[in-house]
Amino acid sequence: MNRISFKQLAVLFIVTRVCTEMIVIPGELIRYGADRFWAVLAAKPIVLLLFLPMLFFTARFKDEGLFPPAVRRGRAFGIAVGVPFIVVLFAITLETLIDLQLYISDVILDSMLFITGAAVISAAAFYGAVKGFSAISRSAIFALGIFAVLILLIGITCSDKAELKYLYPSFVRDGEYFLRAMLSEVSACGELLIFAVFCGRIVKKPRLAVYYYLAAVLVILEGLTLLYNLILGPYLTTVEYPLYYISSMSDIVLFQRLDGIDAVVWVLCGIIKLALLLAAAGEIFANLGNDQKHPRQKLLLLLYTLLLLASAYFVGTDKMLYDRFEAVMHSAVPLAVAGTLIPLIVLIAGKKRQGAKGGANEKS
Amino acid sequence: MKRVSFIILPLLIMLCLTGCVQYVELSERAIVQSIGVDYLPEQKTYRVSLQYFAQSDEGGQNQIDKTQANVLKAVGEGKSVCDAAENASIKTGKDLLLSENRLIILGKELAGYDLENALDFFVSNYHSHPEVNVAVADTLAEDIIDIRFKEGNVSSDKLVNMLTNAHRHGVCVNSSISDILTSLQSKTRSALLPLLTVKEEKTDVTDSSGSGGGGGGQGSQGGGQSGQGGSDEQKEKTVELSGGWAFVNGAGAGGFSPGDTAAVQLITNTAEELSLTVQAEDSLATVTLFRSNFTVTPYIEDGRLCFYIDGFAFGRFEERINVSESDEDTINTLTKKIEDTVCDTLSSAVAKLKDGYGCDAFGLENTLRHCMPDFWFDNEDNIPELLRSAKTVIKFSCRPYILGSENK
Repeated sequence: MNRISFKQLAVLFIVTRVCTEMIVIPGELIRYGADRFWAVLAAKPIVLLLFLPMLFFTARFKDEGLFPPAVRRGRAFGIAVGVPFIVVLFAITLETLIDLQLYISDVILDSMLFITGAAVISAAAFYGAVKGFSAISRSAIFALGIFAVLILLIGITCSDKAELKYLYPSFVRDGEYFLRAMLSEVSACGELLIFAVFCGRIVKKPRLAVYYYLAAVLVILEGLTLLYNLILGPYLTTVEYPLYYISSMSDIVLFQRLDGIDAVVWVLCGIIKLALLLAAAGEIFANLGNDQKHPRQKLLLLLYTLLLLASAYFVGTDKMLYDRFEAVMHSAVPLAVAGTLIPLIVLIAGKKRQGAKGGANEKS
Repeated sequence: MKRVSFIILPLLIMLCLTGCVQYVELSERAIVQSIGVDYLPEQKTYRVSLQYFAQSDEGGQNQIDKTQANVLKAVGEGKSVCDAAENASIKTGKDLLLSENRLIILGKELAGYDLENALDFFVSNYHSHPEVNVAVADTLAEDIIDIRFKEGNVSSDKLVNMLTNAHRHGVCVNSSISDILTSLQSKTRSALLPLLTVKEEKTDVTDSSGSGGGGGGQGSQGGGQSGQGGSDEQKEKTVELSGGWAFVNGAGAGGFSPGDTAAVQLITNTAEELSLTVQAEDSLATVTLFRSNFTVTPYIEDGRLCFYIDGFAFGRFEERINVSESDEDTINTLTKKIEDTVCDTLSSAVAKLKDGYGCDAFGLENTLRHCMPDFWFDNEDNIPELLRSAKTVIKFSCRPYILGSENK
């Protein structure tokens, strides 16, 4: 079993979270002013609270993901907690696939058929998922490097467009918007489910990955909010993809605009996120089926990907259905159920491996 | 072997997938260089004139033949800007490519209507560059599109360079589409655009053989007779920058002078340098202001909103003037004259743009929100009236230095 360090996992989570920020049309969620700053700040302690059962879980069940202890309690119990978990995981994967395809058709290929784009993305993500968790985490480090360079270039080229007068000190002005933005912020942290599945693959101290991820994402998102406000000012509210718009204003010698590079970076990160979510599904199938290397798992994952593709076509091409689906996903309830409630149940009812010692005993 | 086929098979499938995506060859694209948008109120239609790159005029496969005009013109009409552009595209027989567009010119008639509506087509099109320049014509935008300049790789280069250079010298407001749309988000929905006028004069910058023709999508192919237009004794049409046009509530409110433009540039700290002429002893002297820095501070006085505008700049005399380095009185008098001239220019611009049109040309709303957010939120609905009736106090100091003197 390939294992990674907590730093690699933190990088992977940062990439997937920032990617969500870029490919989802923030429209109503990123507005000019200080409200979003407070929404992001308030969301992070809530996300940490949602992570708490999993943090306790990693302390109790060393080197194991969420499902092996549940399956040890009983196959039926494992399936009972696994099915709702995988439904939410499927919904998050579906949301990511649709958002990524809509992003591509909005900014790169407007004439592309939905199903063609979704099929190519799914195929690339499936390939990533088959290559495994360790390979995906290595590609995330590469993607984060490109993101850092992109932000640096945007910072250099757009520094003269920043207007300090666009900033003003303020607390929450629109309570309803603040609540909606905060809930969306919480529900965007689908990494909680990935952590639940893969926490056993972290060499040591998996909880540190969560702390690093939350701290880094807080800094990055607040930094991006500041950047958007400084450069776009009141116009920010009407811009659909703020960083894409800002990068299209960046003129750097040969490249008269950086939006193409920006779009490619986020498509790449989107595929990494999808691959990770598919890999998580594959891991659950393996855990519940209790056979890690059986070729049946790959076939099951392929069927899961095809189901995902079909669902993306039905949901993504029906605007009303997609809006309802988004409303449910942005309520943070599915994430709380799968990422907090189910781990809490497994934490209480899960069975340790025979001969395994408790965290404190092991330490002593 | 299994692994190799596992890699090769998806690659082959992906290669075939390119056939599933619609694509347009470069030669089938109309690479738009500048766009003129007019509104014809009698027909209630928009008229879009496109100046697009003539690929058939290329000297080589990838090179531009500078002896040719390199641009064609197409015109389309429709019920909206998008509709008109679509019709123009149909006439060219090519797909429009807006990413290379450098200039949008709005006709004078259109300037009386909602600016945001007119620009909406260019904003909603992700390929359109957000830094494209926008200007208003004092006549039909098409008349300006018709004029072909010899300078630059393509004709529109000349106008874009003219706007950029004038902005650097403080006589043209920054008019990129992103700046305009940002300023239109203010409560006063204000914006400033440079004004282009058509002049007839003896010049050798335009190409008479290419100018003025090609309506209705026929496409007039300019150039081919290098030098003929320029050496002609007859007057030719050319384009001049003459101040700007102010927009309030999204619609055109009126024109303003180059002096007002300079004042806007100074107060908003966007002027790199600015030249002005003052009386020195018995002759006129030109002084260039540079490294100017203005701060605007809002405050409340007797319940009335006031703005204190305080500025400083270094001044450099462009000619040697007959002043001794020890003659402090003369230097002080000169400094006072510069300061008075600048203060008069600023006051005149504030009176015209802010008090007259109610246009927030100086970014006062942003300053107010930045410095007094509570006041701004309490009076959010009355900001346009409050800004218009606000009192302004202007102070300017200058530190000139004279070539050869120690007063540096």
